Amino acid sequence: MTPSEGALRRWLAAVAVAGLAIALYLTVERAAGRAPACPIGGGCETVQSSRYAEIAGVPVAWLGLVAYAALLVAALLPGLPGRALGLFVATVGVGFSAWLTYAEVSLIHALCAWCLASAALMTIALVVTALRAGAPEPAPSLSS
Amino acid sequence: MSRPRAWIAAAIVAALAVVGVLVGLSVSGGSSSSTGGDVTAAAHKATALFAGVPQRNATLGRPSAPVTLTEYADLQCPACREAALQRLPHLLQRWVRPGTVRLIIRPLVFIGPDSELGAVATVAAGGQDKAWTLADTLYRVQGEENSGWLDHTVVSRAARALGLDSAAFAHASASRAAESAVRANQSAFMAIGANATPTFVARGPGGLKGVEGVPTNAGLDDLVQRALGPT
Repeated sequence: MTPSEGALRRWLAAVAVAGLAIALYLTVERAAGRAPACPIGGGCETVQSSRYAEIAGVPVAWLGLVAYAALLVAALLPGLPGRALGLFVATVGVGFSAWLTYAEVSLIHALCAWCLASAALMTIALVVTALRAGAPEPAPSLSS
Repeated sequence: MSRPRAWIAAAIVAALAVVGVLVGLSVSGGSSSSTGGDVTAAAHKATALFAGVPQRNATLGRPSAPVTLTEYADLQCPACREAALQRLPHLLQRWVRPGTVRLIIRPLVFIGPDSELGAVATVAAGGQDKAWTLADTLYRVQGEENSGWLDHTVVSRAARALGLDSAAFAHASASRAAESAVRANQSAFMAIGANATPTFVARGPGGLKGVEGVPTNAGLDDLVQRALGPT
């Protein structure tokens, strides 16, 4: 039984808000030059000070902000535009998170709990957006 | 039968293309810094960090400081870079500038063959009282371990950017004295049973205390305080 379009959109919104919170926290700490609190593992500083924390000069945390904001938009948008945007962003998110996790494990040799949490959120977002892509199109309705 | 959803395939293909570009940028961003990055900017930042702190040979800080904190480091090691960029500013402000701690850098070869060049260069820069500044500059342009970023080009660019006497620096870098200094660091590192870089050893009136890896600021404070002993 596939959850309804409405339920999937609410889940996606919840994931997006959680992701925004993490990305916002990491962005602020980075901008302030502080080390993020690192609840598990303790590798956050190593990861955030590594050169993989920026791509072409843009902090990866900003990319996270943009991605989660886009997921939130996708959750708010009904119908095809919301479905397509959500699937697109979540696929990019999971793909890039997979690379970053590989970089943490094999290149930086440190794990950052925030980054792993974001990777997990992106994975959930991909599952939700994939279910939404496969869900029956909701009947057009006049009420919102 | 549901109608074919071409947009699903389109969204996934477009997404994978974007992932490819992002990963490509992430990797090449790494290699552009691995060809030296902006060595001049790094040298300026390093110089600013140590401004007003006395340096003599491998020592940073007041020679009469009660606590000596020795760091065994490899310029290729990401954790040493983290210690330099995240911990050193705190140590400087809290302990070194007030004259409680003097730091000694003992560069060695831990990660791989290229580390030798960085270690020798740090010793050679010590001959011109800029061991810490050179090491800090190189950390700021650090590339991936054993990727070849730590080469003669990046070292000589750093030396030039720091205003070192190039001839004297080149001579010292190639000297047997620098090589044996690195060997001595290596032996001391082994003798204390350390097996990670960085390793910090604090010596003071309170005795000898050591820690491997990158401690937190509080961990470093604790190390220094225990070496200081009861006051």
